[in-house]
Amino acid sequence: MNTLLERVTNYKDLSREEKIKELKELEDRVVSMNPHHTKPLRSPAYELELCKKITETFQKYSHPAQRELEIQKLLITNRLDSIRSDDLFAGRFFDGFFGFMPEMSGSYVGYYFMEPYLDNYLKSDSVTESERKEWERLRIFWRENATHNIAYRTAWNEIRQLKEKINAEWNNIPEHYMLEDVSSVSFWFVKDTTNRVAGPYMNIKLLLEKGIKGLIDSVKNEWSKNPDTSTHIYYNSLVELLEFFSNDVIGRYEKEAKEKNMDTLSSILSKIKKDPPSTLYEAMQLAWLYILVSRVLNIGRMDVWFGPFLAKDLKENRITLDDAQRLVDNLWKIMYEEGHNFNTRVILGGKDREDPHSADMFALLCIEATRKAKRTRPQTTLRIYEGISKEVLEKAYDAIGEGCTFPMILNDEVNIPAVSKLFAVNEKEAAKYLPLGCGEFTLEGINICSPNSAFLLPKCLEYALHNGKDALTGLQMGPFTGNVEDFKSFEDLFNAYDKQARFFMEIIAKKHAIGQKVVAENCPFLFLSILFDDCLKKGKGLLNGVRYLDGSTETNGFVNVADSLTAIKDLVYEKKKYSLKEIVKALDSNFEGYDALHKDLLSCPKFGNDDDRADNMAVMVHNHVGSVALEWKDKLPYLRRFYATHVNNHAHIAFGAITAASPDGRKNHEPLANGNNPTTGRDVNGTTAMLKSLAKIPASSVAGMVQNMKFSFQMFYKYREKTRSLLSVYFKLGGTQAMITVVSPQDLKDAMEHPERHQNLIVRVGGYSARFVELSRELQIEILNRTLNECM
Amino acid sequence: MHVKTVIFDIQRNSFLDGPGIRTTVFLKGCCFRCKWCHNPESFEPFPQTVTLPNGIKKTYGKEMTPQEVFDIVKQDKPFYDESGGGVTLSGGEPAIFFDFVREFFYLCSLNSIHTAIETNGFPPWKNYEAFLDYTDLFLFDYKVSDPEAHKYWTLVDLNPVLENLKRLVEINKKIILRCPVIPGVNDNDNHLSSIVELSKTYRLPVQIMPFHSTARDKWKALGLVYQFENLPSMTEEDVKKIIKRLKTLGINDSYLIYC
Repeated sequence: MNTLLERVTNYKDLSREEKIKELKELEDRVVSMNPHHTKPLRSPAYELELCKKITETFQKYSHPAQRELEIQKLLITNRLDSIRSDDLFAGRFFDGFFGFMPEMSGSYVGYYFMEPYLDNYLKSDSVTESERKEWERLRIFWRENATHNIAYRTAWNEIRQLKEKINAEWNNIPEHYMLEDVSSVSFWFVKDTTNRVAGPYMNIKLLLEKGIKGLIDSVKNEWSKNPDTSTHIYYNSLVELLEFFSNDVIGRYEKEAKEKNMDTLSSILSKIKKDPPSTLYEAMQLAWLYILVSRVLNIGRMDVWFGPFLAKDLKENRITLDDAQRLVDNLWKIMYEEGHNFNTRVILGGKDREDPHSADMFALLCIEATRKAKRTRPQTTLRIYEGISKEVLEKAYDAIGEGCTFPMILNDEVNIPAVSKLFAVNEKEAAKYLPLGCGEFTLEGINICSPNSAFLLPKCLEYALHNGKDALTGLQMGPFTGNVEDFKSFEDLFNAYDKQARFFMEIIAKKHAIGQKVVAENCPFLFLSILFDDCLKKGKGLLNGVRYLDGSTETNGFVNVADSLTAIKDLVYEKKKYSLKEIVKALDSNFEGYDALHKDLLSCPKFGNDDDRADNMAVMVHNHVGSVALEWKDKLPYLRRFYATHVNNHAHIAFGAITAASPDGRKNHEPLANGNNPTTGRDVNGTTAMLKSLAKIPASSVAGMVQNMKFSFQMFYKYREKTRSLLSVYFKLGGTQAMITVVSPQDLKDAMEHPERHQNLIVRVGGYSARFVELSRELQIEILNRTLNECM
Repeated sequence: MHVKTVIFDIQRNSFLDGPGIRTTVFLKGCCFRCKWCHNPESFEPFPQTVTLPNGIKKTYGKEMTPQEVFDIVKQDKPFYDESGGGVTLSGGEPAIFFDFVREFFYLCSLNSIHTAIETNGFPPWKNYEAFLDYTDLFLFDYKVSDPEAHKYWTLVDLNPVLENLKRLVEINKKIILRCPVIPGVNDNDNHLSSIVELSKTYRLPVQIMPFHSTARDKWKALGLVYQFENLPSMTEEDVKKIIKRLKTLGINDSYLIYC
């Protein structure tokens, strides 16, 4: 990546086309680092016949519910994977580069067809001519009919009209949607056209109460009560699908288990074909199979579902805690192997649990499984509250202290009231809040709130500083909001930024609503709709029937914007040391020749140091983007409310790559601040200061924030009590979330290479004062080795 | 009255300078010249600018009033309250600047912030009298037990130190004995026995401060000759050995504070 960066930074010599090409390469390299799915996809060689059948079936049925039923039957039958010899649970699944899912690979939805995989396969010489012809025919069909393509086209046809309004230069937006082909350079609001249905959490508790036959009865019951005859096909499809699930999924595995002499498993499967589960093993098996075939990527509140079963089994001496641990460990292994990156969330804890005692028993098993396995999936999360079991919390800290990263911690005391306010729901409904994927909120069983776009705040500021132009490519991207010479006050600048943000939020919100409409019209998501209120009552598919259909956008770089505005307010409008024009000139030169100015920008107060000058600005920028998103509530069909979120994934690197230098002192292409956190290393006043800054950000403005914090290994082991106090105060002051990682030798190595990113690393010795980055290399290596020893 | 003094660091989230979570404030200026000091930038009471071995320019020391320091220290009050922590004055030798200490500790006690001072015990007793009433805890350094060796290693006499310690004990102030252990200098049984004896006689908790080599960059940058250039930091094993030794020599287990 370095040589690429070097080439790109010698910008002045490149033509505009060359610049765009270089930037795209850079971004693609960064983005390709983290695929979502982890099991290899089924090869096209294996799946030509299946694809032909799916395509035929798709054309045969016009009613979305019936079509989905028939295609699901085909897909699931062909894609279920066999039980491994060391599996205690049945249920594995092959994904293919085509199929039907609420969300695939981060960006596809419904009936999906991922052309880049096909392209790769077709490069091989072993593909025959006739196969090639068939695949081309299929490609053309799905380019027209895949849900993501329809959604993309429909949305963009409407959005293009906005382009005329501002005379923008969006000439390169492609006619169809293909993840890797979308020319994303500068078109960040196009690239993440993910019309997915991400993060739906089904009401699994209902499934476990009723069992399959019970669910069929519920469906039939609602059917008989519903006078609207247009819902008949939907209800009928549900019944048929549940029967298929019973006979051809559970039944199929029952047969396989018998053949493999797995008698316990086969009798469990036999039982749950129709009846509700009565033991822990049965409950876990039924839940897992249903989640598997629905193809949702996140799991949910396992301690709530399984706690009561565990308690009953223990009381009636059916199993021991060790047996239960074995079951959990095994399911953890399967979830890891079948899971998807950035997802597979298991949420434990929660203030609203009806039976916290039994739930805690199960939660301890889950944390133990997580601690032992130390893998990236499932992403275990713990919702804490006043009075949470000390044993559970300590066990969580044990796991974290061992370098687990999990459980991530959510603070119910702050989040439930915040969600109640933001989502406009009562506290009981708000207590159903769960984080999906990268940390965005949704409500279990009653809400769809899919984060379907990225929102680049630093780009909005960049456009505001260049009268709507992109600073790296010179293209007119946003509206004309004025020249910087004319911004006489800080408010003038902020108004320009506000206009840019609102313009792009309009694009994003409209794109979202239109996309969800297309999905709603084409994909009822039958399995999910059974376990979501109020689909059965209304007789409608998931997006049409769910009680609250909301949406969200993932912001990036709000801390960079806050720090930039703090610096501008201070140096331009208060101290009047530089004009805004000078600052923009310096940015345009990537600070070359502007050393003093660059230093001045860098030494302005930064978020994360408990300095109100910077922190107040961060709160303002945060509240602002939240309100700009909320502006869209009740304005669009298929979008009740719209939220901003600040989450954590690797996107801040990719998006930083396409963002020009910013007034917080950040250079061209450098990563943006990660999620909600101070720009790496800029929090120099230590952990207490950073925690205080983080706690100032109001939870009720956005639907989910992730706070990354690094603690040293020692803090969890030698100084557990003090660390506990630190976090306890943080949560009391309003901290919403904590994603804690332990400083690794890698971090220290990085600090040696990039000291500017680790200004905050303090060497901890009693009565001693020093920053790691101030030490000589020899001493740094010494400390590195010592840390290595402590970690082993 | 607003006495200023030169502060060279304010370190929040300190875990090792007294109970709970603390903020450690480092005052510049010291009456000792311990040859192993890990804060040699604290020797002189005036600001100093140096170039560190990695090329970074650094200025040690900035004049501040007690109020200015307090405004920073008070920001972590929620953490002090939760963890039983507070503020620790260190340095350097803070007891030299007794007016500052008095005013600063007064502000802290008005606001229910626990106060601790790390001191080598050498300044005149009247200095301590000035701020005794506002000091909750003394972190009292005990470095070398043989009087001649003490003069060699710290450049000052041991006797005044021991006398001040006695006075503090007599008026029932809370004290922790902070004992730096420097391999080859004071890790012998003579010194360790003296520690045990002090601990027993005055019923003092003891905290071992193992030698660490991370100070040598600072000595070099300041243009000072560092005698311990080649001495590596003590390991966990080394510390365990010292603790074991102290126990064998008769120290009461409950008086050992591990760090």
